Amino acid sequence: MSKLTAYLRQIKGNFTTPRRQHLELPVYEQVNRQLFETAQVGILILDSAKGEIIDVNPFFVKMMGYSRTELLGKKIWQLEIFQNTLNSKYSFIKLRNQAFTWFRDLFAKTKDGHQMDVEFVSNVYLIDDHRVIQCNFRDITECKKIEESLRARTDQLEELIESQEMTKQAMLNVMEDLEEAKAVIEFEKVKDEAMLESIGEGLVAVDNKANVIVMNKVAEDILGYKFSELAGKKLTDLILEDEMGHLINLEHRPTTIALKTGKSTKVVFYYVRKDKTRFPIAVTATPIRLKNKVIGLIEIVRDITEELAIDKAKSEFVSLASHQLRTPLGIVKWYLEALEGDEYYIKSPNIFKKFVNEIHKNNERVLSLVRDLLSVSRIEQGKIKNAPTAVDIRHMLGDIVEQMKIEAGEKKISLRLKICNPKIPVINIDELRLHEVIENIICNAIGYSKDEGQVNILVDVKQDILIINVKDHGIGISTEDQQKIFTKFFRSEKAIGHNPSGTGLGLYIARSYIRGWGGDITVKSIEDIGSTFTITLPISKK
Amino acid sequence: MKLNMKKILIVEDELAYLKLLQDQLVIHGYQVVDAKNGKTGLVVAKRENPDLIVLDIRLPIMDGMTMLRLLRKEPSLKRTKVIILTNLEPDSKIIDQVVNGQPSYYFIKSDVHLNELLEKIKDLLVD
Repeated sequence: MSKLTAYLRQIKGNFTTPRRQHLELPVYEQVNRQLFETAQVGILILDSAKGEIIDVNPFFVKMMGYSRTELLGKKIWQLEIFQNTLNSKYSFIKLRNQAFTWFRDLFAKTKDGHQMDVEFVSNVYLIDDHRVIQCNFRDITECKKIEESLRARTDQLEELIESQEMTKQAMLNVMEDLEEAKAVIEFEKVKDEAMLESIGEGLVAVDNKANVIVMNKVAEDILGYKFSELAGKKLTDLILEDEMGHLINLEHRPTTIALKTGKSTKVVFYYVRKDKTRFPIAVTATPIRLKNKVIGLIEIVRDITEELAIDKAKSEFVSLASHQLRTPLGIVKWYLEALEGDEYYIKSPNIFKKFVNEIHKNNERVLSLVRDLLSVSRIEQGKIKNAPTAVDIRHMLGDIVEQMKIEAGEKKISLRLKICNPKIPVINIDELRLHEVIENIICNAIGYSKDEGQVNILVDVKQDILIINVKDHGIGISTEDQQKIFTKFFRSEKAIGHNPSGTGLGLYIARSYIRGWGGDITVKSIEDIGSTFTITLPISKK
Repeated sequence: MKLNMKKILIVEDELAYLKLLQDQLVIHGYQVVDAKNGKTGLVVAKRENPDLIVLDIRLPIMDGMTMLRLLRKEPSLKRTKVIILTNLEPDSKIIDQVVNGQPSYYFIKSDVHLNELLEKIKDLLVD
């Protein structure tokens, strides 16, 4: 008898009284049977050929609510228990063909319609050449629920983690953006500050109540206050005066006008510093508008002392130049008119000659003045043409002295040239202009000398420097005027008294030329004793 | 020298002007005294009490406008007629002083004709 036959007989015959009959089986089978009967897992034994249930354990009966009788002999796919995987013959065949099957997603329905999740395990094995399939079913509904909730929880956690990650990333992005924005603002701030500071002019910003809100360094320097001293205070508290020293009323101040009218306002007043000193200031107040409303002003302040000085110097130059030109031209005019209108002068040849001479002299004066003015203009525009040639200084001085002796002779002045150093070199210099300069200095020396005086010209070389001294015993120059004689149009009163026809440009031109050659001209003088002009020129080595 | 001869003081440092004006005025029958700066001019004016002063502005030692100011402080010279004859364009300060220092007149040397000037002098000195 095969083991299976015996087994089946056992089941069929003895199910109601199991324990006793079991003892007749070999021990191994008994143990197995015990496990089968008491297992907390539902077990079906299938005939592998037909798929029929040939055994079912008590737990399965309890689990599904079907009686043993209802189950035995049924084909597994015909049971209404299994909802998905085991509900067809095909799925059974698949089961049969595999030695071991395990899945957890089997849905089962109990007899009373209760749904449950089931873990399924099948083993195919031989009993006496018969293939049987043992199927284990375990209710994993609770397990699944826990798993489900665990998964849900895990998902939640994952979501949470993910969202936290996202938040973190977002935060980082925001931080990054903030950093960028901060950098932009920092840059703008630094740029604004640099702009504020780089403007050569003073800048003050005020709000619509005229309170100071921004101020650059130049404004601090001009106004004589630190920003910290003025911040939040009214700009209109600073003192502005007119040229006569009268305080400018609040309603006439540029700040007030610009705030009131909303128009850019430009004025020139005098600003009074903390120490009560004052200077001319140009103020331009420009309204700052936001949505067509004036919310404050930008005021540009400029110390125009220098501009005014330049303006004054310019108009003085024009006035002096025209005065200087008018004098000889007026003389020429009057003498010509006198010659035209009065026979008295025509009839006397001596007077006629004297008049023509006067006209000639003054015409020369005009020409020389125009020449000087042109030189000044060239000097100031930096347009002097330098045409250096090799000049024999000794020779040149000799010529000039010879030439000037006639003029000196008229005043009985002795003119002497003394060469102190036999090695006077040939120097490379603009001959015409050097001639003009030296002639001018000697001419002055003669002009401002007393009659029967002496003019000495000394030439020397010391350490590659050519020195020319022109010494007179004339009227001299006061210490105060010595500082001024090299400036344009300056003439000392003494000089005007002695010779009204000088242009006041000769020494200015001389110094400009000499300094242009890298040398200098200086003066030492005592009033009523005499003056010594010293010209120094570098000797360029070849 | 006639008793009714009018006396004119010329204060001028530019000899060419001085000589010509002096000659012309003498020819036209005036007595002429001169000074080459404001300081001397003031002294001569006090001493000579001229009927008219022809005064330059740019002068050594003391300029013409200073001399005019000091002149007007002298009771005897308060109303002396003064012709300012200069090549300077008058600024507001000079104009003020000319107006305040009346009777005084202002001529630009290079603009005025010699005849015009002589006519003006003649007009001013008519009794």
